[in-house]
Amino acid sequence: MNITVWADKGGVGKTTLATSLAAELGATLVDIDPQGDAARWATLRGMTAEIPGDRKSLKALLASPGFRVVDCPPGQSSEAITTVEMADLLIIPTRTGEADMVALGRSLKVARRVHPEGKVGLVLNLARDTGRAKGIEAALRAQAGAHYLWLGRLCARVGAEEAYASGKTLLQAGGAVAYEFRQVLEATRALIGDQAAQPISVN
Amino acid sequence: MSKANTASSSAISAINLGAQEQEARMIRATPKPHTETERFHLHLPKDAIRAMKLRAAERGVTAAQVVLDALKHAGVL
Repeated sequence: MNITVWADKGGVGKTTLATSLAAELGATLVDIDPQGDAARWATLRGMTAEIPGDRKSLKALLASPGFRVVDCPPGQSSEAITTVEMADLLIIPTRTGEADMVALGRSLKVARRVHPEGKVGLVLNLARDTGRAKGIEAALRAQAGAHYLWLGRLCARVGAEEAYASGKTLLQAGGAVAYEFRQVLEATRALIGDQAAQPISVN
Repeated sequence: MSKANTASSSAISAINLGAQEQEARMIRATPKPHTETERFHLHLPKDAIRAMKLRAAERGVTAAQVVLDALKHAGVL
């Protein structure tokens, strides 16, 4: 079971989301972003992250049994596309800017092309409390169903930044951050269902 | 129209625009399928291609024409 957190656009909070999801779901964190932020966060937390050396080892890792959350770099590198292709669940975080919406369209098209049967979940991330942001959230919620499933909204909060910086998950941040993240976590759990359980290998 | 409504409709337009851009990008990136002659050429050893080019030069025609003739002769085309 591979949960991939990817978006064509950078700066949408992929790593923050991927790291918290991996830790709270009890999954192995895989960092394929050359920036290595997810792996650094894991070290801070006393966790380990897997870092595949090349595309071949990435494919072998994703094809092997296990429960993983993969933090991808932005863009459409062959590694990122391979990870999208091999995802049981693709989570696309997006912000609410104009460029973010255009990038979301690109990301959804890529997902549909490379993995037509794959599940796609959308997280509105780093949202602000403005009329515009609320309008975009309403539109994204209303459009959910055909091309993606709505997982939830995470507002831009200092508590989230502080939690990430100290190796904590968004759930451990407490307050509104935890409340919002719990919605995303539960929606993710509902989507992956029993598949998240570690398979028993007797071979 | 409220800010929220304007944002809502412009978000959908922007998402559609991105999807169209990506579609166009993927179409450009998709290699054109090989023609029958090119496919034949791809499977030929290099010395056979060289011999075919020589034959084409002798006959004053293109190598592709030699391939086509050979395919016709073999009953493939």
